[in-house]
Amino acid sequence: MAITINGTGSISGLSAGGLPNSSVTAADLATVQDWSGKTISNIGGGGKVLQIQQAVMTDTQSFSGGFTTFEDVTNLSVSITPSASTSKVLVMYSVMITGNTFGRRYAFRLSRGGTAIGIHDSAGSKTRASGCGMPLDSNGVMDFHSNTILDSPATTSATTYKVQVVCNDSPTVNVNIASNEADNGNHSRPVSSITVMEIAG
Amino acid sequence: MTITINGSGTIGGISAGGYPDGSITGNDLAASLNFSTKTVTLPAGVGGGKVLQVVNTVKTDTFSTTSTSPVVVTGLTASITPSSTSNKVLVLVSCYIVGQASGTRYPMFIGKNSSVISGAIATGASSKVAATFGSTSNSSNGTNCCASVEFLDSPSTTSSTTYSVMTKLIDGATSIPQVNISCNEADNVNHARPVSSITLMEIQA
Repeated sequence: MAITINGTGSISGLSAGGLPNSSVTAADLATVQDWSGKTISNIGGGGKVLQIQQAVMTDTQSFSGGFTTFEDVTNLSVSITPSASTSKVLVMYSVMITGNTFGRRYAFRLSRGGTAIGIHDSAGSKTRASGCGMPLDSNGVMDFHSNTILDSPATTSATTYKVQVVCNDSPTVNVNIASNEADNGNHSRPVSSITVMEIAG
Repeated sequence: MTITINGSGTIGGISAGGYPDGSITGNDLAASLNFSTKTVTLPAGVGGGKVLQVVNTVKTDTFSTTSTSPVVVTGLTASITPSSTSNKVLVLVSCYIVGQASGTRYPMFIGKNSSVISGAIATGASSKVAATFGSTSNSSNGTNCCASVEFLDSPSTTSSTTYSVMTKLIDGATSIPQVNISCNEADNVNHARPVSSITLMEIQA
């Protein structure tokens, strides 16, 4: 295409990449650059956290019956849709939980779309969990658990991360509630949370 | 140098900076820009977030030690290579730890390159053990305690740096610190084993 230099200070007919390599400097650039429609790669200074989602569980949930399969904590669940299949997802959770009976155990695990992630290696007949505990006295003090897992979901579809609880030998497991609580100002209730960050691959 | 305009849509012979200042706008730029070989300095505050990289290790097995000096909890380490000496590293640790016997005490430390980070332990501890975290096994049932700590380090290096969780024996032979295991565990489904993790985030200065 022929390059045309007109008398109004503009040039037309210039192909993409048609300028001499490295000839454009910062000073040549207009003061305001709108790159909103551009695809920019390998530029320094940018962050790796592409998005963040969080669910804060502000209510309570009790699991009764001593069931031995993992059950969802309803409001301790969060979804994220990665922008690239190479992205990773940093999952951070904080869980306030306890059983209702001294010396009886409970456990919980992290799951992605129903599949356990971030759990202990297989060890005999023991339950593979992300976290576990047991009331150490009859006062029902809640246990604090947290962990951070960098997951590679390899998808650009909506992906749900959640916490699942199993009673093991505890008759009841409570999230965000002490087992001996009374309804007065001496007792408090906490929150639990799960946060996911998409990390650029 | 002579500026050459040929008939194929290209211009040659323009020196770096040879365009009128401010003449190149966003519209003049190609739709896709690859800066892999370029050094780009962005205005302060431009360019997205401050987390430049994230490294995570999840320890899915167990550990115990009888060492009376701080030792690295095997498998609870993570390495990071900062891109600038001025950048910081945020260390996030969640560690299930317990002393082996009831009433025994155990400490936990954050380490860097196998040495306890002095800024991440208690001051004024007198004869006590200055630790990042410490507790006591308060029941013969010996459940794990989930120790969760965060520490912002300034490594001042662009070399690979390894952060770790460390522990040691401090309260007699029965106080052996154990990670990811309860002290009275039995091999049935009522007993579970958890995981511990260490996460590093490089934070742009």
